[in-house]
Amino acid sequence: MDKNVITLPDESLAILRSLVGSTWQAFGGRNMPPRLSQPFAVFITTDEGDITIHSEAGWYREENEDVTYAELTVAHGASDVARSKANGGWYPLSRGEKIVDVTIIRDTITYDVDDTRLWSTTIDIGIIFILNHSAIAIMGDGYSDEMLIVRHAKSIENLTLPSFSDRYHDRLGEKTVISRTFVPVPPK
Amino acid sequence: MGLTKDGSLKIPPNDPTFLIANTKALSTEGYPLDAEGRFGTRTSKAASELIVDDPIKVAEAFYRKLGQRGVSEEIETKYGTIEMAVFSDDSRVVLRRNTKSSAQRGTDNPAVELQVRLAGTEFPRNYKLHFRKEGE
Repeated sequence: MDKNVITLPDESLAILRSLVGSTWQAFGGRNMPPRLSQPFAVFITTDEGDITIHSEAGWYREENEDVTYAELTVAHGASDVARSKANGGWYPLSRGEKIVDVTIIRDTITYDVDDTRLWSTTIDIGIIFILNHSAIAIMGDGYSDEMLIVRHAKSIENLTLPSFSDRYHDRLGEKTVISRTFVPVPPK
Repeated sequence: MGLTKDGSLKIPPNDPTFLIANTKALSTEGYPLDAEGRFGTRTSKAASELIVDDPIKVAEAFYRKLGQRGVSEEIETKYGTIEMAVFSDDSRVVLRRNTKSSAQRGTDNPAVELQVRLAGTEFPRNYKLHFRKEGE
């Protein structure tokens, strides 16, 4: 059985952890349209610095095939800010709110054929920033490519996060199951 | 999609129906779709393959034809340049000129990935099409 675990690296978790307590300013992408999707990178700006969430596909094995999963990483800095302001990709939603907590969206996909497990993959698919009056999720739009989407709501309970189960079509004997957990960024 | 002043339908220049039309057009050019609506031969749940003489050339042609009218972006990654054509509902076509196995084997095995968001179509939502030479 192929088992893949694709979670945020420690350096990324440390950057996310350091944002707790800072003041949110905006998010965006260099050409981010109003439907709030952007391939490869989305930045956020705070009063204590900017970060960029990157999505880059890595290759893994499933059923003796190369498959891609989009791996999330977080880095200091945001090189696309000026361009996004010029191109309309700058979204100062929730500006002035404090970042109260950060939570990881972690999905596990299992694939069985005739009750035999052929592969399972656990992947950190997104990051939720919990602010004092709202919540903002930045997550992959699927597992395999680098498209990122942003969802905004008044609370984490009100966030509408896509499930990707409709992207798998099981044939007779196949069973694909996706389960989702929300994992707080662990303390140091 | 919306209505114009004269009441006609206004379609975004990168409307996802173009991706469906591009797929149908390509399927009549010597690359038929299988029973699941995929190009090539199914090799796994999320992958199919096409055996061709010139994998890079054919993969690039697939990307250009399927991604026609999508908004194209490209980025350098550790696995080479990725090109992505995005339609207005985030349906997309992704060209990966290099894959992990091609890097390991030193062969050209590019891939084109399709993510179709449009509901109600007969095409699979998500699969990757690998291009390779016979025996590679």
